[in-house]
Amino acid sequence: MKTIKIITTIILVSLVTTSLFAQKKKTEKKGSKDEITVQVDGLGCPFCAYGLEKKMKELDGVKAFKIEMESGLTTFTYPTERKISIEDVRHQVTKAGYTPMSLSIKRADGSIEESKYETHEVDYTANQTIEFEVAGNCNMCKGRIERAAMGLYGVANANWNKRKKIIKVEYLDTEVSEKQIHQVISGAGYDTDKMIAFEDVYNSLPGCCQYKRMNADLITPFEEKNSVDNVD
Amino acid sequence: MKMYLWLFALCFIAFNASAQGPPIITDKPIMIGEKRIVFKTLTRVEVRENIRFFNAPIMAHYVIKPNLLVAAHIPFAGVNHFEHDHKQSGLGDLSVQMKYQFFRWDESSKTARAALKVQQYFPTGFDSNNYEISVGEWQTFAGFTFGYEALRYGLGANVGYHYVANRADFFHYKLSAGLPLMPLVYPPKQINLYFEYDGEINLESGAHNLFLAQGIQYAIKRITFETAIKIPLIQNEPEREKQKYTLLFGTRFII
Repeated sequence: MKTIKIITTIILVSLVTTSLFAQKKKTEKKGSKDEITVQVDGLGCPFCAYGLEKKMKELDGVKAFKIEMESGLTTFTYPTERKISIEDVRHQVTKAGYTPMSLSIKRADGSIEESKYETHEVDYTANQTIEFEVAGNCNMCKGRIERAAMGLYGVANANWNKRKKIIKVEYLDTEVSEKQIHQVISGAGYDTDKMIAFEDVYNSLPGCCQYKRMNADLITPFEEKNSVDNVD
Repeated sequence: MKMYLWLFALCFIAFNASAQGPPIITDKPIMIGEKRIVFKTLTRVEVRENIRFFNAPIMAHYVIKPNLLVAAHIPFAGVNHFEHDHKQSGLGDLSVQMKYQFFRWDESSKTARAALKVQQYFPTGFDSNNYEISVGEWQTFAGFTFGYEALRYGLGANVGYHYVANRADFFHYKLSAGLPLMPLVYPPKQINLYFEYDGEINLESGAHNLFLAQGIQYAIKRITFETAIKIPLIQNEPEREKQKYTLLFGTRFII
C-alpha cells in the first residue's frame, strides 16, 4: 500500500511538472519572436508592395508579413535568436527600392528599439530645448512630426513620444524660433498646443493618422506682434 | 494552328507568378525586386486592311540595383499578307534594354519616379516592313519614362527617339492613366483600367499617328493577366498602311 502511494505520488508530480514545463516551453516558443514595424514611403500600389515583401523575405525567418496600403505600415515577425537590427531592416527596405521612415522592433523580452527618420546632418549645436503637446496616432505620425521639425534649419533633434503626445525639440534659437517649429508641425497636419492644423491638410493625412483634433478654444496661440507697437 | 497555340501558351504561362500593376503598353520607371528576374509577355496582333502582323516576345527583366535594370527581349514574330497569300514567321529582332532611374520621390502611399531608357535592337529577324514587328535592321531607342503612382490612380509618360537603320526614324510618346476599380488591398486582388495614348511621328515624312489603347488588368495574388485594344485616332499613312486596330494580351510574373 505504501509502495502504491509512493508510485502514485511520483506519477502525479511527474504529470504536474511535465505540464508546467510544457506551458513554459509554449510561452517561450510564443515569445521568441521579435515584432518589427516599419513605415515605408513609396508604396503606390499593391504590386509595389509585393516587391517589398519579396525583398524582406530574403531575411530568412520573416513571418506574418503584412502591409497596410493606405499608411505604408509594414509589420512582420522575426526569430529573436537571429537578432535583427534596425539597420538590417532599413537596409532591406532601401534595397527593395523604397524609403524606410520610422522603424521599431519590439523584442521578445518586451523592450522596444526605435529609430526615427534620418534627416540632414547638423553643423550647429542646440542651445534651447522645448517640450510641447502634439496630437497624433501612430508611428507614421511620429515620422511625419519629427521629419517636419527636423526639416527646419536650426533644429538639432526632435523626438515625439507616441504615448504621451509630447515632442521634445532641441534647437538653436539664433536660427529658428519656437513659433516656426509649431508652424511646420501644424503645417504637416498635426495640431500643437499653440497651433491648429488647417482642415484640408488634416484631411489629407492617411485614415489611420487622423487623430482626435485638439479643441481650438483651449489652445494658447502665440501672441501676434503689432507693428504699431514698434513704431517710434 | 501551331502558331496560335504558341501565342496562347506565351500569353498565359503563369507559374509561381506574382501580381504586377503597371500600365500595359506604357513603360514604367518603377523597378521592384532587386536581384530578381521579372518575366513578361505582351503579344500584339496588328490588323490592317489586307495584312495581319503579330509579335509575341518573351521579356526577362533583371533589377541589378533598385535604380538599375537590364532586360532582354526575345520575340517571335509573323506576318500574313492576305492579298498575296504570303505568310512569314520566325524569330524577330532581338533586343536588350537598360533603364536607369535618376529621380525618385517617395511619400506615404505615393511615389514619383523618372528613368532613362535605352533599347538596342539587333538585326536577327526577317523584314516585315513594320519596325514594331521585325525589320531585320539595327535599331536604337533612347528616351525617358516617367511615372506617378498613388493609391487612387497612376499616371505615366514615355518620350524617346527611335533610330532605324536604312529606314525613317521616329519620335515616340506615350501617356497613360490607370484607375483601380476595387479597393487596393494586400495581397493584391484587383482590377485596373488603363487609358493609354500611343503616338509616333515619322521624322522623315512628318506623318503623325496617334492611337488610343483601352486596357484592363486583372491581378489576384500572384497572377496578372492583361489585355488591351488599340485603335487609331490620327493616322497619316497611305490607306493600305493604316492600322484598323491592334490587340494586346499578356501576363507578368516574378521569379
